[in-house]
Amino acid sequence: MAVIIWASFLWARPAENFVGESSRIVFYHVPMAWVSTVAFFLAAWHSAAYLRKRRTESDEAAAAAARLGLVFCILATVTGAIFARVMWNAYWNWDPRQTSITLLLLVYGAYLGLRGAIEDPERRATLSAAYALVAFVTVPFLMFAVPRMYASLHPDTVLNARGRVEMSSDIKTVFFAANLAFLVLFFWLYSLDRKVSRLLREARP
Amino acid sequence: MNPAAPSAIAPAHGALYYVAAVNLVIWAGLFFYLFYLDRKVKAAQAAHPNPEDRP
Repeated sequence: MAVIIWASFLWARPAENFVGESSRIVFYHVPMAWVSTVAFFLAAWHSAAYLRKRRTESDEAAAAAARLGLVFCILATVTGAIFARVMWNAYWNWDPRQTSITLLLLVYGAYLGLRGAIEDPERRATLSAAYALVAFVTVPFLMFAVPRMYASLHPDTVLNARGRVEMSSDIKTVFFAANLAFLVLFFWLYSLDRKVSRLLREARP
Repeated sequence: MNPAAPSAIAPAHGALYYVAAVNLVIWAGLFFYLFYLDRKVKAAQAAHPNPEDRP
């Protein structure tokens, strides 16, 4: 991770069509958004597993994934706002990307709210698993469809409209290494969260 | 004396500071999550203390 931070500041050159050095923010902002998508997928996957087999571990895994997904989604929102400040001189301008990520935060914030509101563990697990499955339906729509349906200030997606990744080789190297590194970091935090949840469950009388 | 920089390119001068700010936000967020996990571990320990730790 230290190498990626160094490379993002000093090795990769700034991309064209960005204000000053702002393209370096992309090395951090995009992995946050991608990791949150992976996390929400995992939450839906484990929720489906819970509804099938009713194992407490699946419920804990889904909750941990949604929690971490929300953290990464908040970080994607904040880093995106900083990028917007450099590029467009305003932290927030209700761009379709900013609107859709806000909706996503509300959807998964409500998931955690739902979990906190129900005391009976079995009922909580069943209802939140059903909710997580429905919530995941909104993820491809809000993350991928909405920003492409409306005119946006947001730069091109990584895979652009021509189906190509158009970045210079140094930027591409740092960009994909950063995505991989943050994904590994996510899985480490995720496994820690699951272990802690198991400890808590075993500690309960 | 240098003329004032055009406002349209003014943010570019501090753009590297913005990249540093992005780093700070991300690591602060992830440390906050680790802190949250640490609190959960302490709650688990309080609920089920190790007999060897008792006085």
